[in-house]
Amino acid sequence: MKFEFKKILSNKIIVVFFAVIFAAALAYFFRAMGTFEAWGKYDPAEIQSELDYIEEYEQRSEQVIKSAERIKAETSNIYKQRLSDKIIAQRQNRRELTTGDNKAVMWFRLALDDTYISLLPILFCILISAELFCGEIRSGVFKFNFTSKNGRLCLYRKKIFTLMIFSACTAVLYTAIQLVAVLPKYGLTDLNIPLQIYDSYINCAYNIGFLQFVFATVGMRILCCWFICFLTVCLALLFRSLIASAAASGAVFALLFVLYERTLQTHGGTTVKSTQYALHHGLLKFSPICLFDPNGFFVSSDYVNVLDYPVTELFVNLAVSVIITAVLAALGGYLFARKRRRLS
Amino acid sequence: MNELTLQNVTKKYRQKTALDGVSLSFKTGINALLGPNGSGKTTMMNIIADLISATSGSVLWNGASVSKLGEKYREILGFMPQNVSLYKRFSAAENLRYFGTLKGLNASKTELEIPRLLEKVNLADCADKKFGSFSGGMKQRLGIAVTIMNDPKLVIFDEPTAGLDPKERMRFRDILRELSESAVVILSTHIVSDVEALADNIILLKNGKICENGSADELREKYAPEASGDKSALEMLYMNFFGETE
Repeated sequence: MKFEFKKILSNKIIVVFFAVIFAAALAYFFRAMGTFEAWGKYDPAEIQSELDYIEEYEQRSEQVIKSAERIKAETSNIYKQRLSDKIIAQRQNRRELTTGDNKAVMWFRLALDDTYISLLPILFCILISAELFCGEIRSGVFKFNFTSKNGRLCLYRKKIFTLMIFSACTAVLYTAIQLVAVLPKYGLTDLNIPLQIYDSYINCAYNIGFLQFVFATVGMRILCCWFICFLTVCLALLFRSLIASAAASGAVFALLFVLYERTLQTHGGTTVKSTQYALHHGLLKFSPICLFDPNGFFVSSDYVNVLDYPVTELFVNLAVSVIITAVLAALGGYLFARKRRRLS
Repeated sequence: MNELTLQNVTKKYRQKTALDGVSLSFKTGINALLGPNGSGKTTMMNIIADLISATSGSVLWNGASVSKLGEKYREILGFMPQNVSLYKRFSAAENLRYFGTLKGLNASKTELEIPRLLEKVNLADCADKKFGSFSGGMKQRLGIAVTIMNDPKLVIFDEPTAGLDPKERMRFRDILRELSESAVVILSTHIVSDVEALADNIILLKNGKICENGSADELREKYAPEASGDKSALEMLYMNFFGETE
């Protein structure tokens, strides 16, 4: 397997792309951290007193609480504590946030919640998958590989394990960089302002702590990366062209993602009943694409009837994603090891 | 005694029949496939190497179908394609190490074998050089080393001497002679002198069909008796069959 790693790491284009993604992400998040002038200036006691006086809830917060009530018998105080949009808005109204703080809030929200930037690791997964499987076909070295004892299924297993490790590390590293601005300096308490403005976490319908949320996000993103890797592998083995397979995989992902974003924007995650929404809902909510965006999978806690037993959408999404990913992996193995009718 | 048998093998592409009902038997020793471009030599080799499937017919190794043997067949197989391509960013030694793993060889044994193999193909000084920096002849030689590293019982060379200078060609002939003592060697080439010097059995192929099959002496006696003992007799034979020579 070390040779498969070496094949990826010796490709200068991939290494440079990897370095650029993470350097850009790091610079982006540190800029967000640097512009927040008011960090550390808020007294937790002050914030607690404001929480005590919160009486109005936004529509989204009501839905979150109702969703939570379906999961838990009692509404947890943690959900109330997370509704810091109100806190930020009140402070802005009383002009206690400086111009720099307002900019930082905007940057921070963009940095942590901007799903377009978090697509870069997905593009990286597409690139390494296509290169690992098309490179040998393009150069002709596969003729030596396929006529070797361990050159078919055994080689395929080594390649996909390499891909899985590489893509998992990418997802972990990217999520770690997202949070590096927050955790070392400000801790994990729910009253922490940076945590409070992390929309995905505050809108989370599940009663989980911040670290649990982070681990769950990482797990979901790893599964999404694996799905994309195996999809690209299958396309690479079908098209036998690096550009065609990377483009096709990127197009599938982009199409589903754009449809998903449009669905969220159009319907705001509500249960508007229409044929189009039902189609989008079914296609996208249960597709692995949603796994990369915590806004998608953690906000909703709708139930689905599976054999007359109610299970959460998240559980169904996970199960469907694992099944699709496993099917793609098996299909890739068949396509890789089969004897072809022609070589070119 | 090992034997590779082709039974009525046909390979059709959309607009062309590359092989048409070929039945052949290859025994231990050097078997040369001779024929012009497009005669079906490379297609036959790819089918024997189990890289592509035949449209009909079967390939048997010691009576067993090569498709069903799978890994066991590839364990005894050495295949060198027409254009040698290995990993450009790996050095010569790293390429051998990688293919040693792929061929199921023991890692410590591979480490001991690498210097011997590189010495055999005259690349001992280039062990740490990247494959991408090699000349055409050097790439060919490393390809030969990769092909023979697992002591194969069936070795297929597709145009192995292309790009080799006369000295390296002589070295390659020595390697082939050594291999042919215990392995079935199938060699495809345009270079008639290579065939004449090495082949125990010559198969003439044209338009996907076998024109003739026999030893060099038998064919010379049959088709160019007036040129017996003359080194260019096989060239005359080639011209008689195919109307061209290299």
